[in-house]
Amino acid sequence: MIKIIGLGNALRGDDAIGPEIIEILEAMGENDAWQLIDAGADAFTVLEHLLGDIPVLLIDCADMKMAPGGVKMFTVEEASLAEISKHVSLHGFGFAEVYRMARQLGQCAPCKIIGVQPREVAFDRELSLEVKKAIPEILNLINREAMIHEEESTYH
Amino acid sequence: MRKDLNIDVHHLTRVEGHGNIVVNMKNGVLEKAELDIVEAPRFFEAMLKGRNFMEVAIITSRICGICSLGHQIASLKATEKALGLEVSEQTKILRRILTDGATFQSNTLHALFLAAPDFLSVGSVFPLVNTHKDVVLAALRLKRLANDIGDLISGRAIHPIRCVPGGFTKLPGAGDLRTLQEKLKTEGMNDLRFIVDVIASLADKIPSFTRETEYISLTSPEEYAFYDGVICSSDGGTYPVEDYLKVTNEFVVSHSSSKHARFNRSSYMVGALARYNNNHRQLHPFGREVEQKLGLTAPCYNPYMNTVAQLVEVAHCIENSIQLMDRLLTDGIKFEKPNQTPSRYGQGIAATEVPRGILFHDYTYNRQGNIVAANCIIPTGQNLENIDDDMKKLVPEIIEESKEEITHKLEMLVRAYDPCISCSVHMLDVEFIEE
Repeated sequence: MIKIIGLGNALRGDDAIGPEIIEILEAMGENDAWQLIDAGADAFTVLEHLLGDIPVLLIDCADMKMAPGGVKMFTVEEASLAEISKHVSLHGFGFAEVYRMARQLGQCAPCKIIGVQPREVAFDRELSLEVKKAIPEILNLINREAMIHEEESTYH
Repeated sequence: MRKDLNIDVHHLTRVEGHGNIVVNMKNGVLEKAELDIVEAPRFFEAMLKGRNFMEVAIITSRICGICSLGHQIASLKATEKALGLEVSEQTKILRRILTDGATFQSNTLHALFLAAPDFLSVGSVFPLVNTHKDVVLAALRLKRLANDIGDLISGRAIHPIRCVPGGFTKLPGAGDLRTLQEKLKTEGMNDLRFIVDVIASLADKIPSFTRETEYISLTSPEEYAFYDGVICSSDGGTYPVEDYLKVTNEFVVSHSSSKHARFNRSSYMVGALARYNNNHRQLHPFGREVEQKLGLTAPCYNPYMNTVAQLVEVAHCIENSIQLMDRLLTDGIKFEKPNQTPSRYGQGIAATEVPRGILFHDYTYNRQGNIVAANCIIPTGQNLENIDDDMKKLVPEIIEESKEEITHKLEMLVRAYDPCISCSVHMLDVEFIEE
């Protein structure tokens, strides 16, 4: 079992890729291999899942200095996530802050991120063609991860 | 006495939520004390134009990641008024429970994760995780409980899917509701008592600044109003929600891309403290217990006490949701089909209290059930002029303190309002570590 969490604002162009993937997977019907969570733009919601035991796979729009539509799966240890300091509202917590807090609190579920390089992040925009084209690749990565965790739980 | 002072706190908030504190005193004269909002407007109203009534609440719930439920409820109520869609008492109770959950979640997180670090003079919540781990975990359990309410009643913790115009597409089971109610009674109330004890021990860290202003909130003879009511001003008088434009009187200022608001005075305050000042007599006993423990008394004119009022509301909302669940379980949860057959087309105006204050949604629909005009007035915009007025009074009072201390108190002041400057994207900024 793996938790697949889509993070992002569905109204902001390519930032919608996380919720979009969750919607696609939901439309495929129930699957025991995963639990789907649309966290919207509330990174804080990810925290409670990071504090559990079940591995987390986060789908998020990420500036990785790649070409638009570029997809990369990585662990948090493989990347340096920029924190947004001096936040003045709850909206100021991003995934980087939430992950740091989970680590500080002790137990933190294994977590991988599928980052998707956006073309445009702006209100009232649809997903760009480049990011739409990346959807099959994202779904393949999710399937592969889900299979790995299914096998692991079978053997344990 | 100090004659000159320049404070310029740039980007008080995160990447796209730009708010700057600017203070300028010259030769003993305060020339400027204001919160500059340089965030680009997002024109949600334009995004709603042409949308069908079935999709409007889905879009508006995405305005904000934290207040998604509040926007959705205000949106549904405005649509139902515009289209003449009556909803059942059961629907109203379920929506009230959702509103309670969303309020106690947001208020707890603000008080513990944003305001408490100020009381302890630590830069952020991260040092607290080490020094007050039990409190942080208690706050997270309360958040989880609120998410459980969302999951059970609206189908999702964030961006609800079962709340639709005219009712709910799926209803919670009585057994699940009873289990959740039990968790609120035990885990929820115990965790809050623990949190309140810790905050009470920090009460002397809250600045003693006061400035009486006008407090605007919903009010209702039936309850401490969150879901519904009429507009109430502490300066006297109640007004139908339909008259919201006479109350908000939005105006433009040069230092803010967000409109400001005023009514009977130069500014007014919305949010937990405004609700408390206007409706404190209707608090449930658990709210009263926390009110006494934290030493809050009405009327309170100290904006820093907004955080304390938030915790009083957390207690009230937990008890309120328990009582509402009792009503549902006693009456029995009945299957109902959402009423989605419009009986009229036209304008619908609704207000609901979200954690940061009173929220207005105003829609006009054509005969095809599509929006032709929309207006949303959010709480933070209504508070901005009040924050500026607070600063103008506060700065001369603390002018002899160090620049760092003045800056800290101004930042604390803005944080006390928990402004929602931008509900912006949480795009990751990633740099890969080269081996």
